[in-house]
Amino acid sequence: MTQQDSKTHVVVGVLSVQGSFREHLDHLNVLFTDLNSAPENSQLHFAARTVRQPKDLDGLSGLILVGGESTTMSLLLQHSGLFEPLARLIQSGKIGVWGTCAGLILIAYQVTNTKVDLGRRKFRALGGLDVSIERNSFGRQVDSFTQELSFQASGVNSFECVFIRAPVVSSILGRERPVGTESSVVADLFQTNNHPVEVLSEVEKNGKTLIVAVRQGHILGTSFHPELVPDYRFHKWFVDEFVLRRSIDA
Amino acid sequence: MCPSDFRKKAGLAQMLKQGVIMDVTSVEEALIAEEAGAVAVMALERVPSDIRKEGGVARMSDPHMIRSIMSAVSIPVMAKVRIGHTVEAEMLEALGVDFIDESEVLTVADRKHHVSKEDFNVPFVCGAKDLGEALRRIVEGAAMIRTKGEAGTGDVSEAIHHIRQIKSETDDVVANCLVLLDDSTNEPGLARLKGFSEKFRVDEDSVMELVRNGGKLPVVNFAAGGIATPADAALCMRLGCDGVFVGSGIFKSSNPAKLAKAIVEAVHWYLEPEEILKASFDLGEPMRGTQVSGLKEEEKLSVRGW
Repeated sequence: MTQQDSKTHVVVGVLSVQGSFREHLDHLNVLFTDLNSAPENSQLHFAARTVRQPKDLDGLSGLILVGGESTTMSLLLQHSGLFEPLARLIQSGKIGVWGTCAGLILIAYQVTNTKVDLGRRKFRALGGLDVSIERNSFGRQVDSFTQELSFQASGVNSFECVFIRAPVVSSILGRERPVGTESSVVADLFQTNNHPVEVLSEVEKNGKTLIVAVRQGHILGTSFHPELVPDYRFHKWFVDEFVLRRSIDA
Repeated sequence: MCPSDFRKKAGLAQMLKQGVIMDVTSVEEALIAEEAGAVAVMALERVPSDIRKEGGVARMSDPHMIRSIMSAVSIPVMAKVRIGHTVEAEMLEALGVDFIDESEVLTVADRKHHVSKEDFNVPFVCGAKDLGEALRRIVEGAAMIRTKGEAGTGDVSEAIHHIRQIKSETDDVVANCLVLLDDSTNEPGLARLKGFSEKFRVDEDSVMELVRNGGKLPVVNFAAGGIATPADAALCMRLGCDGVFVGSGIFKSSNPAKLAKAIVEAVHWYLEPEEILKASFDLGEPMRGTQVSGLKEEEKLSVRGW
């Protein structure tokens, strides 16, 4: 048995269907090189993994759903058979989950301002977060922006947040489940998330206060892209708080 | 331009990675593209194969047509301007398109200058057939690069040539200047750096940035021009492209909806021959096409731009 085998493996998956998965993997790899050489982690071995097929979900401690085009990702997930096992795993509460931008859209229970019918196929969300997400809330690409934000609970301060055709959390859902309409989609519920939805950050835009980061128990959602800045503090917080602390609590 | 402005422009291109961008000429075609899983559409009046056939001056498309496509789909919408046509670009920015393609497929407007792209808030994609051209466009502010394969031919060979050309020139630069990372005053290294900078007609720092990044361009690089089948698209991905543009290939085939879906699948599964095979059954007739080797030099679009 090698030294590595005697350690507890912490594997964080990155959904690699389309979009900025290479960027997330690069961030995790830099972070994990540091974590693996830190003396306090002598009993742990961290690794990042691309997730494309149902078998890639085995043994994960955390999962990141990346930025990209949510319509494209939803269609590819449904076609490849990954959709349902992924939705069940996200909702199970067994692993830490983080959705960025398009990833946030996919892990919401309700998505509004979206296309529902795509020919003979449909846009579907995976669910997990009890929120309603509005797509392209800030407008088109010309309205994309960057802004420094601080996240008190995380200790991540003055972080450069890149918003690209970004969605926002337009409301937090109550016990009443919404139903789908012509321009909104509701995810199938496999398992209830009993934790409250906490708002982590908001931005002021055009006189409105918009929610851009939330957590609900094991799930984190951000409408911006921490994978686009050369700064892995947000990834480290996700691993510390949603992957490690949760597995210790459990 | 400050780094954060560039980041949000280059960032949209990063969100399109491992995706397919499709040329569309109507709302109906745009919906077919979106339903197939395209990550973006390129709105234009005539696909390149028709421009090639019909001739005449090819300009920016009718803004009404572009706007109707923008309101019909939820994915990003791109549109083309003539090389160097700053006013067409300003109009598209005012219209609110998500990306501008300064494209050799249209007739050249300025034979000396490309658009100064860093002055814009909207990101630009530009064609490049070699590393020098790619670096010059990036210095001008392009947030995304694509190959200049022969649009409208259905012959992928020119795009493949450009991908390989950029790759081999990049390897050459890294191999010859790597020494400067450890020893920034190394004289033979500095002489070679100067040589590359003169050859590519960009400042030395743009060349060094490539070396510092291990040979990776600072922006996303897509394949474009002549891609007509799922296998063509997968081949470009296999050679290291971040995604593909498909122009005439889809809507000049006999079953566009099916072919569009198959190309999206092939780009997703480009490493898995069984999946590409599965997607490639019963696609109908691909576009007939024209061999690039049969074109006269003046008929080639890739020679436009510099």
